[in-house]
Amino acid sequence: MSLPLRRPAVAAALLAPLLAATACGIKPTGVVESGAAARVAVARAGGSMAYFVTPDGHLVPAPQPEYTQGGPRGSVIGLLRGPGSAERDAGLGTRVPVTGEEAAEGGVAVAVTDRLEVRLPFPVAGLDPLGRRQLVCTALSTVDPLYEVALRGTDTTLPPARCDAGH
Amino acid sequence: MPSRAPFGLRTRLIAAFLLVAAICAVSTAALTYRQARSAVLTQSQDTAVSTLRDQLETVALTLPLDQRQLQRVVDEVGRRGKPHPWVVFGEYGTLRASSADLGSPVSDVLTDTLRSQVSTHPHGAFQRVTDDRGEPYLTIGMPAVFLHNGAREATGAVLYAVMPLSTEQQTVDAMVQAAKQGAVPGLAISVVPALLAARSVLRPVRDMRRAAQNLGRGRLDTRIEVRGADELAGLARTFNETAGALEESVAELREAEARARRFAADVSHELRTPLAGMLAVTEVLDEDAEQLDPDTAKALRLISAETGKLAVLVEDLMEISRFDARAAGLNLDDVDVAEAVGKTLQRRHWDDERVSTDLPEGVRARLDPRRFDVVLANLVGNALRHGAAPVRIGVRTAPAPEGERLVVEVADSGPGIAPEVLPHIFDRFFKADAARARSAGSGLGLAISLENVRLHGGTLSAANAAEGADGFGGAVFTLDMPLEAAP
Repeated sequence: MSLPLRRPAVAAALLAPLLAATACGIKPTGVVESGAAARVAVARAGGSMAYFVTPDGHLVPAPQPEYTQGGPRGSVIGLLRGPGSAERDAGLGTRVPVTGEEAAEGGVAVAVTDRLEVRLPFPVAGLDPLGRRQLVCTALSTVDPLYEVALRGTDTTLPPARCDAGH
Repeated sequence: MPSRAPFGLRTRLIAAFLLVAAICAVSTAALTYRQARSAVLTQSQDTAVSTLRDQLETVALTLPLDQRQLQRVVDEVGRRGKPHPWVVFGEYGTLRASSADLGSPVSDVLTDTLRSQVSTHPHGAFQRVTDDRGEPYLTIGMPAVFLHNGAREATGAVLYAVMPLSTEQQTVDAMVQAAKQGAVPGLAISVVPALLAARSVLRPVRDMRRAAQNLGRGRLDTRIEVRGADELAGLARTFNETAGALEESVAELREAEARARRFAADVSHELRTPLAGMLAVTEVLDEDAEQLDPDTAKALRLISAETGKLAVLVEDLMEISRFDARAAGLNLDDVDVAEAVGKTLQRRHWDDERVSTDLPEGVRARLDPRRFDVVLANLVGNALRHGAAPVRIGVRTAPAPEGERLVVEVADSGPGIAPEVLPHIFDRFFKADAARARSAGSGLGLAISLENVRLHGGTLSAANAAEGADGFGGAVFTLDMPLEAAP
């Protein structure tokens, strides 16, 4: 009695997962990473870059050719000018206090030891992480990115950090 | 057996066959389909992702991008979709551009998951999605990076390509269709081997059933043809061996029986000649008995009577031996039944008040008059001896499907036959009354009557009549045979 009853059950048990595994049609997937990003040629890629912030909170580099000769100090001065009109048109902003070029010229100093120390003319304790990354990456835009950068404001010196914009 | 299966062996065999075929067909089709579908999709996806990357790598950017530049890049890449045309969307900061001439510069099928994945982790990525109508799309996110200070750095610009997968959908649908269209004929075709397999199993079983039936009907020479060397062939061989053994034992039994009958026939035949001599002598002595002294005369009469009985017994034995040897034949004649009954009674001097008859006029039957006479004499004699007068003889005809029948009833007025005796009443040498070891008859009368009636193709039965008003139901013997006996 048990055998004839069990036989269809066995068949169903065999077939059911098989059919379930092969649902018809094209099913949606999750996000699948596939290969590297596209490497594009960027004009003036080797020069000084100021990093601004997109509305969704990512750092975006903007070349500032006029500060290329100024080293890290020139780059930071360029950042403290704030986004230019082209950057603003693209919706890029900054989380760093905009001091203007003259105040920056007077207030920014860079000391190089085994690390880069950037002195800034404003308090840094209240800077949000994005602002700190802006400053660090901008300072390192013309030098070896393996340097650590310590930001020293009018109030305190932040722990040294590296730029992670390259990832 | 715990329970009977609801279907026959053939149905179950075919069902099992089809089930196996269905499992095979479905699993093969499903696995093939899965593999093919994933191959088709992987090929398309890989081609699309690498094409987007290659196309994007041919453009040069000036940062920060403006709307015009973003539009130019999007248009350029959007023209070269592979493997199918695509729509390319560009995003940079708050700038949005689309390669589609009309419609929104922002795609409605791109998911936030893809956006955040691509912008936080600048690698190529794709996602298959369906729009609100269920159409499948491939969406690819490709961030643009550049070499800065020896490291790859995101430019912030991301291109998204949206490619409809309608071609792949059609291919996949076609595969499903092909699998379905292939499976049904495949199943239909597998009915043929299923039927053949069922036949190969069922034919020996059917043969065996027929053979067993034949065997049961007494055809002991029935054998089954043994085909092949499988279990069914083994069963057939065993059946044949069993039938052979059965046939042999039955043949031995028959031979023994035949020997015994032949012996009885031979003995009676050998006894006949001396008995004839003895009868002649006792008749002569009987005539002279009055001249002897009373004691000797009494003994002489006893010898004479016993010799007569012995002669009757031997005659009866020879008669029944002829039946056993199937040597008895019918000597048919057209007879008026009333006349035949009357003659029988007259010859035995029973035509007095002891026997009453109910004989319809003009009933003519085709029978052996000598054997009919023997039967009737036996029945009436038996009724007078063991039952009691008066004996009633009734003759009538009765219609029957295979022809009219002659029915003769002989009823006596005795106490009837004891129920435990009734089944044995026609047995040879059966004595209804065990205490009365010696009777007037040979003990073979009813047996011979029965054989005679059978020879005519009829039946002879004994019963007790329903009790009458006098409280007695006598024995009733009913002879039922065809009006026209077949030779």
